[in-house]
Amino acid sequence: MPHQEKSLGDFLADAITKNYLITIAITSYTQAKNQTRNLPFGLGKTTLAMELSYLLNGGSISDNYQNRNVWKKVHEIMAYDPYSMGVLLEPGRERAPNVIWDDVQATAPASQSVPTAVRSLANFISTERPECACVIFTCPNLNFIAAPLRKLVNFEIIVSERGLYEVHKYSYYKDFKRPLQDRMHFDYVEEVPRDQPFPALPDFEQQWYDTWRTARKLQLYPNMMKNLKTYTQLQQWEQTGETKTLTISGHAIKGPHGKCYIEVPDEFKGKLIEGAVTVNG
Amino acid sequence: MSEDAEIKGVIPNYYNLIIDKLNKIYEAWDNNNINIALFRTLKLIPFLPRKIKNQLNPERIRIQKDLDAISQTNGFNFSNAQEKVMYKVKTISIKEFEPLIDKVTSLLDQEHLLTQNYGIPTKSRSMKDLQLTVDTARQENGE
Repeated sequence: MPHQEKSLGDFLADAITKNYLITIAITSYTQAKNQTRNLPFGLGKTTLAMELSYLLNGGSISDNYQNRNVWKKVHEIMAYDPYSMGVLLEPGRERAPNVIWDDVQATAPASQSVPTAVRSLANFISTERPECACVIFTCPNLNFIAAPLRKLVNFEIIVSERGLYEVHKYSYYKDFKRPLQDRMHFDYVEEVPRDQPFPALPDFEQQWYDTWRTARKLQLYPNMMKNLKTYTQLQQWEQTGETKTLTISGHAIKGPHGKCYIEVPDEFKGKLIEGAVTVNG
Repeated sequence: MSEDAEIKGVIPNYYNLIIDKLNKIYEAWDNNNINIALFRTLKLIPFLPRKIKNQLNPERIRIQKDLDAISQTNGFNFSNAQEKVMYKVKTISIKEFEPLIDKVTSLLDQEHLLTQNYGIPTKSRSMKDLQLTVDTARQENGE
């Protein structure tokens, strides 16, 4: 297993001062070099992301992460969904040392068909060098996030247990016999010493984060509940075989051969094809 | 990210070399080729780190001298001479191999060459080091 001679600090310093762009994924659910707790949540991925940002935005360990002015800067570069991530990456703005996309799996999960919006965001992030030196994702495992975002990741920081992490770099090597299929390696970079773990967030910052995350989750909640309600109602209709009459309004589109089409809401489309829903009138 | 990439082999490094050679020594011994196991051990010693090599060299030279002396063995014909040589080599191998390989592995273990996470030396760097690296680069860049 090869390893990198340069440290994460060297790569970050180069990205900030010599105009590179690096993408870091902070995960906790996969064991690499060290024995881990193998837990997806609660090991301190966001804590580490925020503390790294604190250091990159002018904070210092010597002030014990208590400088509220630096934390304000960190708050401004945190996103929870693709839209706010897009807002942070506005072209032409002043170059930021880093941005954080927290809980990527919540809003851009791995799926068979990745939405076009997420694909375009991933393509856009790849051109973000003038506006940002480092993009940090937090997710339990790289397999949890959409493939276009996964492909951007250069470094993976694995939080093995609270306070401890190890850094690995994804490197590609040319396979000379099959030049179109690069060989990928997972190179060990470094790890934090066991006697110098990264600390928990200060209390005031932990409170801010809890409030912030609740607010972001509340934005996602209504849409999820709407989908769940429709799904559950359709399931229950199937089980009881009960017939209900619904009045749905939709746009009428004039088609060829004198036919007319009505746009049906998404949640009914599948059921209409399966015959669970019929159209009268 | 080529998802269906095959693993073609392991990138060679010094630790892999040692493990590979020890494996070959073990295989020879396991197949009752104790002479080959001894020869392979003797050949491995010059490739070991200097600290280990210096401790093993007197023993290696002594065994090598014994083996060289055997090659002078005479018999009433070539086949008989070869048989005598092989018998003497086997006697030396049985006597010398086990203590030698035991010493080799113990010394390798003392230097953490057998148990160091597949040869990756642990690199401990604290967040303070990270901050220092970034801050220094920024200062040099005039930020």
